[in-house]
Amino acid sequence: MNNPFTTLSLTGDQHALLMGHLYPGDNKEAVAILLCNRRAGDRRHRLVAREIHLIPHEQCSVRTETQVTWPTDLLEPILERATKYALSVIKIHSHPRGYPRFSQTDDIADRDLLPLVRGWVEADVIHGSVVVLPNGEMFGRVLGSENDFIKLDLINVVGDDLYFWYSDANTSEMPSFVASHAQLFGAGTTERLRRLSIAVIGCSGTGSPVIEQLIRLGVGELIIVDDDRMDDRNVNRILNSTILDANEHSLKALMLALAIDKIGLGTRVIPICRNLWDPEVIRQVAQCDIVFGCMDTVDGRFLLNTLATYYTISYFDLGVRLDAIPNGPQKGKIREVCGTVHYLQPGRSSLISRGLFTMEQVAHARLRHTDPAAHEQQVKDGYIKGIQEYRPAVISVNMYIAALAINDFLARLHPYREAPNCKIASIEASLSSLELFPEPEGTPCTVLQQYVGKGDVTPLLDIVELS
Amino acid sequence: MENLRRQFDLPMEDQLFLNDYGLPWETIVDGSHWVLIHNFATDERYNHPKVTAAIRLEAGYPRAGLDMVYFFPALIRTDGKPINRTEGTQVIANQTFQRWSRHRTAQNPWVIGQDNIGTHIVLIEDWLAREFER
Repeated sequence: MNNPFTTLSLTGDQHALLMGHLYPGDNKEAVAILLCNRRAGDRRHRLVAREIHLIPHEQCSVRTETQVTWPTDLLEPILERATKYALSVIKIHSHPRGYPRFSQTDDIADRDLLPLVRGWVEADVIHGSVVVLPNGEMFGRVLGSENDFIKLDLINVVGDDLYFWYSDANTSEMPSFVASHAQLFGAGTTERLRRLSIAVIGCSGTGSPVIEQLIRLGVGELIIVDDDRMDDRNVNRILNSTILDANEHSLKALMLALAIDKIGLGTRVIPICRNLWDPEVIRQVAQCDIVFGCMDTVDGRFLLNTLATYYTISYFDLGVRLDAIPNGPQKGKIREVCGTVHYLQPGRSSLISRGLFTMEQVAHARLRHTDPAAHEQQVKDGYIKGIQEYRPAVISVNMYIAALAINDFLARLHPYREAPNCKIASIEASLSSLELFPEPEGTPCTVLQQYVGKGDVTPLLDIVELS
Repeated sequence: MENLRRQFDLPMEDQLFLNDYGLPWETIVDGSHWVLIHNFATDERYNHPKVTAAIRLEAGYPRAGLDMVYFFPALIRTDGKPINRTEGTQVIANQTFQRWSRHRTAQNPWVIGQDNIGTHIVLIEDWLAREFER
């Protein structure tokens, strides 16, 4: 039996909490229990951290540099929660000396504990064990059906900085086309790019330049999502499109997938010619490491922010704002040319708490889509302000913002900016005033923060439309 | 009641609440996603002691709050006095429901993680009762 590619994802804040507990400064081992939900996908099985239970140091009967022993009755309430919510149980402990493998003591302890956990938690979910090293690096394994141990293929942290720890690092051969950017970012970063699974939602104005840059950076896997078709209005700004595509009303995602294959740099591309508001699209995107949101719809961006929160995924959101005076003597005078890249971490601030839109606007946008008659009635009754439809678009502005997003992503994979990444949660670029405006994190989003790592639920994302 | 429709899934806590509440309920998609609760008790001072109550699940629910309620058949007071803000109608599954335009206030906002279909139904019960308190 082939084991699926199995990963564990945590937020930067979850990782920091664990580090604070597992490395209290006394050079002794410590232990905690992670409860995880998951994306049980066809390409990957992604465990996502939902709850962290710290085993108090004073309740450990033995704590030394190489061993920690604790009463297993502390497990009982934790296992009850695991049973109730069908959560995976991951024991997580430290190796203060930095020993980079599971020890013989670990093997004995895990062989005792993990089958017991599996027997207790009735759901058919996997359980495992993880070690955190002094530098924060993590490695792990899960219990197989034959009570054998199977390596966790990847553990990643979605924080200000992005960490990816693979069980088989430094084994793949890099193709020659990455030599130029490997000179700047190093072999390690280039290898990580090669292994990443990235989703791009929206394949038009900002989406197609994002896709172009990702494939030439050597990204391993791309899931590109768009249910729209080409027409002659958008040949002016979609890379790898032609007038023939417009004439044939080609599906944007399929057209770009063909172009990616033709470019031939080895990126595995999965085109999805459907809307993000489709349960199967959610299930595919939720298997990725990173998402780029290149949509201008309020409800699409809300949905992607929610997905990234439930499934512990880094989310880069791109927005462009072009504003010209529509009428009067100064008609066409350009008032604003700017765009913003938001970097969103699960459990931190969101597009909602950053003031880009409100939940009321999300509900109205969706109502307009699903129940246009009721929406029209509510506009008439004064509950909803009518929506302006016209949206200008210019390729050079789109590509500028797309490059800003990709360079922000690269900075978090391999920091190179003067300011640390923890000071930058969004970057606004104004071409009207020729300035960049970085902004730090604000307060956590009260709408979304409680859903971090909630993973697969029915209905997906607890949204009834995704039944 | 026969053939209760379940055209979409509700979040777990809402299913649990509705099952505990004990009335026949359905989920249907008619443009919007609707929860229908049949044999919903009103008050002897209305023309129908039991009606079907419909709740629209806003996109983004439970992070977007629930709003209003829709009744079929339409309710009027037996004493003939008008019920304010019930002039609107909504067709749901080929039946014309009466819209009660009632909203959360600043004193009683929708609280994410706390409010759900259950707390909305408590509010609906209150709207029906409060009609006779003025």
